Amino acid sequence: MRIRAIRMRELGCFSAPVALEGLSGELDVLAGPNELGKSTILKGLQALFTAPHTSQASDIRELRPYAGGAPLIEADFEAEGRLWRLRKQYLSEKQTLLTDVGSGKVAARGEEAHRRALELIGSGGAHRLGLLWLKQGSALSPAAKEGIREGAREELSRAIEREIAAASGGGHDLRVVRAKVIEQRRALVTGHEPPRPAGAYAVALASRSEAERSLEAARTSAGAAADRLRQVQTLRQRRAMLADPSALAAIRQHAQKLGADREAALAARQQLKIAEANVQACESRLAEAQQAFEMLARRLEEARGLEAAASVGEAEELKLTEALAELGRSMDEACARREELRRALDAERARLRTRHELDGRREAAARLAEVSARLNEAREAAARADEIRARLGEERVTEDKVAAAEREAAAVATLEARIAAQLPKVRVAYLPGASGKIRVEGRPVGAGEVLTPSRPVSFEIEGIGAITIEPAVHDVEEDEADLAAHRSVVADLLAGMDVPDLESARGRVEQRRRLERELARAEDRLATRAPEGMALLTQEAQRLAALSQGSGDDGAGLPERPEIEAEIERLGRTLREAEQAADRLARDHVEARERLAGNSAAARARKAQLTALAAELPPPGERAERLAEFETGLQTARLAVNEAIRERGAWRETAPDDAAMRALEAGLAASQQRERSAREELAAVERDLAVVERELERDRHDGITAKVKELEQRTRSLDDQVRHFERELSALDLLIEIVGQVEQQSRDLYLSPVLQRLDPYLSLVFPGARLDIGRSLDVETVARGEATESLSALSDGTQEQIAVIVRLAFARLLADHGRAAPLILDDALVYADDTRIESLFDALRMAAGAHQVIVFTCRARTFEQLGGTRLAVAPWAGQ
Amino acid sequence: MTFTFIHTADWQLGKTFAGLPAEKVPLLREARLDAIGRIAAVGRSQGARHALVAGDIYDSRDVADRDLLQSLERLRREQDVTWHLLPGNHDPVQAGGVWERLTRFGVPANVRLHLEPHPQMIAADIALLPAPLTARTAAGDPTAWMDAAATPLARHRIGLAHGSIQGFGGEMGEAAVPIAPGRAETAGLDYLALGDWHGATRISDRVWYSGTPEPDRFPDNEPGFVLVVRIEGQGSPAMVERRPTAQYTWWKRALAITGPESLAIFGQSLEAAVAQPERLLLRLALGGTATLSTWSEAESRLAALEQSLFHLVVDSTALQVLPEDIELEEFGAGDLRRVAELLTTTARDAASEKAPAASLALRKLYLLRQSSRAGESS
Repeated sequence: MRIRAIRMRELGCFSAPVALEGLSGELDVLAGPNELGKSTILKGLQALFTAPHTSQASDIRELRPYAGGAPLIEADFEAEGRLWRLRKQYLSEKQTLLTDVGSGKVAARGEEAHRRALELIGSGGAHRLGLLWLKQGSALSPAAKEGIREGAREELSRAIEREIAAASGGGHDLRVVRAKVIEQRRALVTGHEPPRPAGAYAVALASRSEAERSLEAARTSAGAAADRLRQVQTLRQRRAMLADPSALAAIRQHAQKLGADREAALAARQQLKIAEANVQACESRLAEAQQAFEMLARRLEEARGLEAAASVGEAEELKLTEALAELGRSMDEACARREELRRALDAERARLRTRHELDGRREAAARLAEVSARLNEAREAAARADEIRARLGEERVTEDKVAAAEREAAAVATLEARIAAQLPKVRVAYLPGASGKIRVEGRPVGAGEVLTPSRPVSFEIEGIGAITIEPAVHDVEEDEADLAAHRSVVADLLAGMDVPDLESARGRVEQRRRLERELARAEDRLATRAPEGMALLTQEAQRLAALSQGSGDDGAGLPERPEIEAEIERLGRTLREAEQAADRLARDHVEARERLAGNSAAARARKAQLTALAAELPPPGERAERLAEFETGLQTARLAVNEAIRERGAWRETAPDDAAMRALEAGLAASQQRERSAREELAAVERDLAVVERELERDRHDGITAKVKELEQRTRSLDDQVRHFERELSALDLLIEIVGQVEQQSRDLYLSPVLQRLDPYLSLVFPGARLDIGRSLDVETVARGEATESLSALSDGTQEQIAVIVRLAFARLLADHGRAAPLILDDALVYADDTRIESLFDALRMAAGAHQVIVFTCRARTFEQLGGTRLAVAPWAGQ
Repeated sequence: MTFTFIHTADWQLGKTFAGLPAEKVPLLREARLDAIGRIAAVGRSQGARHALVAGDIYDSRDVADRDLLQSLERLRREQDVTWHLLPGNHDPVQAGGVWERLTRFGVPANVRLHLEPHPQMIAADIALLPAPLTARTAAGDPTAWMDAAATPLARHRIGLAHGSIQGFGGEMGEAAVPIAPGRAETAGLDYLALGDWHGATRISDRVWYSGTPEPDRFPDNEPGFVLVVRIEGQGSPAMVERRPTAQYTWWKRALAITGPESLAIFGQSLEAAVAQPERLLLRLALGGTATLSTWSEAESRLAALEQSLFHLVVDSTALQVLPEDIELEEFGAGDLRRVAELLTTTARDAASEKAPAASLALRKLYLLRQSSRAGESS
């Protein structure tokens, strides 16, 4: 198709009729400002070649001017070798008119005109594409906004696919198949593969799971029911065994027999207890008889003993009384002797004291002389010592002071020697006749005199002059100062000791030492003579003097002390013997008296006992007979005991002991328990049986076995269903996969010629570049050299230019297939720079050789270079 | 003197027929109960006054009381027949089981329960040796005791048992209850009436499975009969005659589709063989290889067949559907054709695990194409 003229009225900005006449059908260019209405013209063409006049779509309604009206569009176009005029009016004035311009005849009207027109511009069918366009800026916008309505770009892509599908056949059907298959699949599973909720597959899966769970539960219940059946069987067997009358009777008889045994045992044990009590009673009576007999015999023996003892006691008392009197006499004699000896001893002791006094006085006198001599010597030594101490106290020279003075004197000597060594020595010698002519400080210096000046000294030589000697006074002055200080100390020390010189001081020290030695000697003598001290020595002398002064008795005729002491010793010994004898006699007397008293008391006690026994005992004449009676009773009791023991022995043989009794009791209890347990167990079994039978009844009511079968069958059935859906899914997936493969092959088939048509344009505008076109016919990447970039990463200008050349390729493809469609570029090259746009112009010119290219642009000056046929919007003549 | 009796078994009353549509189950259950009447009619017509039922009278030990009571009523109603009922592996003698409940409900006078393995004189000189089962399975042969069982008053000994005869190339029967194949000889039986195998089957002259009188599954054997057994002189073989009793027919058939005529021929054979298709339950396993058009036609025929039968189950998983080359033309010359070709290639590849899916996908593609065409034409 090639468009030759475009006319419109009441459309967008064109309220008045306008026309573009004289289109070449090759490269036609409409240049003008933005408000010229270029986009309105494009919209008009799109509506004319795609929308039926009956359309009420929003993009049709939007064609109406603000002032209102019925959009009218008309175009003259070449198709199938003839010139046609298609005229459509929308909304209130709906009409379509197709006219054969050559003949001037109306070819069709209304829907038929629309359909015929579409066939002319394409190759027939409602979805064919007769027009390609690229709107201003659409290359940079999201695909959905490119067309005159949303999705137009996709529609374009689909339209192109349909073209290719039509060429290979079945493309549309394949899309429909794929959509339906996907729809079927989506009825089963979601896009993420899990079964679609509430879908048949999900329902089958859920039902199968539920059935499996129910089956499992039913099987468990069936198992439990089977267990219960076995349990009932067991319980019934047990009940039969427990309820068996012979078994019950045997248990009962056994218990009864054990009960009777127990009663007999209890009776025997009771008899044994009685026998044991009888034995105890007999033994008690025997003990009593024994005791009575023995007591009577003992009393009788006791009475006889008392009577014999009383006879002996009386003889003893008489003998004791006589011995006591004898002892009294002997004791008196011994006491008199003892007193006599005591008096003799006292007299002797008085003589001994007198002897002592006389001997003491004599010794004191002898000692007084010695003490007095020592006292005198001590006194002399003390006096001398006091004197020496006095003299030493007055002496001011001490060894310390002298030593200090000697140290100072040594320092003086040292300093003097050093000063002398430092000072110059001037020895004066005169020539003969010149002696005395040398003077120092006016004094003539003697011949041979040696001067050691410590300060400048001028030697004046008469008639000649003066020689001044200046010693190195600095060090000498310091030494001299020290010398003076030491000398001063020496002088002070000597003055303190009150001596003229050091030698005197040394002499005085020597004298002091002699005094100190003498003092030591005096003190030694004093210590020797009066070691106890002067005061005590003096007191001793005074005491001895007092002792030596006594009475005039000198003790003549008085024996010496040893004799007296020997006598005292003898008398003392005799006295002690006398005292011991007296004491012994006294003790013997007391003892004899006590024995006599004891004998009397015993006699009284015996008498009392005999009296008491006589009261207890039968009269002496009956005592033997009574004792015989008691002996007879004792024998009788012994016989009774023997009989009781024999009886007890017999019962012990019969009655069981405690252990046997416990065993018997335990056996009886166990037997009774068995009987009781059997009854209880029977009751329990009956209860359990009733419970299990009720449960079995419930099992039957539930029809558990049938339920298991039913669920097994249902599970199998649902399993079949699930497998059916799985097979369905496998088939659908395979179908989708194969459809996808074929679609891909178709696309590859399609894209190959597209890319082939793209190459010449690409070489012109982007030499060396390669485009990768995707499933939706979008350019996805652009490769230049080694670099591959996505389209969106490229500059706006580059994106725009690629969009143009891709459309050129599509248009060329269609043209090569004999279905040339005009390509309308509505300000589609806005960003292209001058260099690039020249190559684009070349591409457009090349394209125009194959199909019509209509360029709408606001860049009039730039596009002057493009060439082509210049168009102008003019009033629609005849309207 | 000839002793004539009916040998039957495996009534399995109370069966639930899970897996069948709910509306069909009561009819099948009722048919099993009705079998009692039909058996009695056969017996009556053949002069048999005794019917030996060799186990599995009831489908399970917990069959509903209603089923028990109904069965008792049906048995009681056939008063001229004495029914000898033997517990089988489905209804073993167990505490709280069906037999206890039957006893509690009250067994009619013409019904004798054989719950103990002891000889019973059922006629003047006829001893019945029953081998009731007490569990679903048995480790030992329940008929073993018959060898030593004395029946001094009997001229004929008839065994009644339920289990699997051993040594017939696989266990004959479903119960795990072994029965020695030579039992009739070792026990001196004139006849051993067996139950468990649902098809009427002769084991030996004296040993038979009667099968179930009313089929209850798609069988591999011949159900739907009772046996009329006649015993004459001592030592002479029993005369056994099969009599049909089935109300419903259960068929399991496999059909290899070889062409468009396959199903038509099958339909014709069906019409010829089945007098009452409305009482036929058919499980049809389709196999072979069909073209798309054949398969499509088969689908239509099966849909029609389903309407005429009591129940139809079709398993076409083994059916391979492959288009003929000419059928591929129906997909046009474009991409759709290409899809069909690729699927056909896969479906024809027997080694490909995707072959079944490809075959099914082809059917779907074909239907979609047909649907699309129908839409276009309308």
